[in-house]
Amino acid sequence: MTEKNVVQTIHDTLWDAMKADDRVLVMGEDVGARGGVFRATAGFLDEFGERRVIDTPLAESSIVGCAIGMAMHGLLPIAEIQFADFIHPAFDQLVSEAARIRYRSAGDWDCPLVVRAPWGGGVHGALYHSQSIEAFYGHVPGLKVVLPATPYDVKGMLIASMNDPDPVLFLEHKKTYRLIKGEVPDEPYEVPIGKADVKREGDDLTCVAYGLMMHHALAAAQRLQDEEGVSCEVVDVRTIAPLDKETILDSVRKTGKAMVVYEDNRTYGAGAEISATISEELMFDLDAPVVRVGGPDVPGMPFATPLEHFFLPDEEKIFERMRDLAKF
Amino acid sequence: DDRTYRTREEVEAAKRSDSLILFGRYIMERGLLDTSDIEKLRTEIKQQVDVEVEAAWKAADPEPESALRHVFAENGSGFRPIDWSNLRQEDSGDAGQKMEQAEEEILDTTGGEATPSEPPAGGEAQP
Repeated sequence: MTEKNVVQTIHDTLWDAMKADDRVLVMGEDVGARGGVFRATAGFLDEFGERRVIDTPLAESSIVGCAIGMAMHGLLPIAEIQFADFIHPAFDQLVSEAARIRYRSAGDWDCPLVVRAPWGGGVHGALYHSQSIEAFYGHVPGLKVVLPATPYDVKGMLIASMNDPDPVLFLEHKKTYRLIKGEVPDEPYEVPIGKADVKREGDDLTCVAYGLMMHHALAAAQRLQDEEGVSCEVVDVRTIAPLDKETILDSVRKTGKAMVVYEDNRTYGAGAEISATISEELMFDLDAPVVRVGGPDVPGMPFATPLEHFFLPDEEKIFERMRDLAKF
Repeated sequence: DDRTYRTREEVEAAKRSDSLILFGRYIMERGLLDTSDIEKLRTEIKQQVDVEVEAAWKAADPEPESALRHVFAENGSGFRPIDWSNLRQEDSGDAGQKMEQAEEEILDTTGGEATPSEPPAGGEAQP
């Protein structure tokens, strides 16, 4: 066991994978000579060489497109999109190609592609370095979308993603890179894709969250317990697609009240799918309407500090909504 | 043959620089294949395609529910995951040090984390 932050966990897990299997390679902007703008691939070029650590041109559609070809022909490419905000030129490759390879070939072809991307705000990233993208891709059958937010989950799910014969979009909340630390086993292990996790048990209400918001929800739940004596269960979604409905519904069935917290624009976000699922399946178990806490419906996360704070749900806002829901 | 996109003249002109046609000519000029070889190839391939088309027409219609299959890998996919037993203990430990070395050289620019997230004391307006 070693204590590590999220980005160091990613670095070390990728390193182990490159050591264990020659099919594994990393590719993306600045992953080689610079070691990654967040240092996730620091030291890789010296150790593994140019053929397995590829500095790509600034062309996301090509990064993903080439990685798809590599994956179909027996390699295990880990493509990096430098910021999730930049992934849109690769949308066509992911949706029209990667997600369909198996389906259109009736299982004859695998596409064991992993695309990693840092997402989320709270670092003054502003419009082009703060975006949430999980809703766009969670909507696409054939693509798996995961967003673990603790070092333990990150290592386990990154390994699960690399071991998966299907394309996985592996989203890493950039604020958690250095902020969130935890104990990580030294040996390889998997945390299964498609399984949510109850991070905090409770009886009075359920808060479903992911990414940085999950950490805020945990802090808010603790405060709720300390100040109001209300017990809130926090469910970490971990996998957007395929969604673990069972864990989420079991929790809401138990508590009778649900809120979903996500930093993405509220309307048509991934939280909307979770909310609709709860409402549709648990009508007679609910004691209150399902609440969604999401970012405002504006075209980007502002740069100015007070505006960025306004955008992001934080511990205070989540605490207030939890308290209101508990009182309903 | 669809004539709605290009005129006959445009198609004839394009054929003059069609890479498939030019490549065929190139191979023959190099003596690698002659006209009868190419004819033979054409016939073989056409027969192959005809056989496949015939088989497809004759095959039973798929079960409607089969449209739900193959979204993700089903059991028995031949995919070979990473063999983690190849990872030696001593190979793993290095990684953390590399990151620490790199951290010291960091110029926090695109990460945005060098920008202070809190303003100087007393400066913040209340929303």
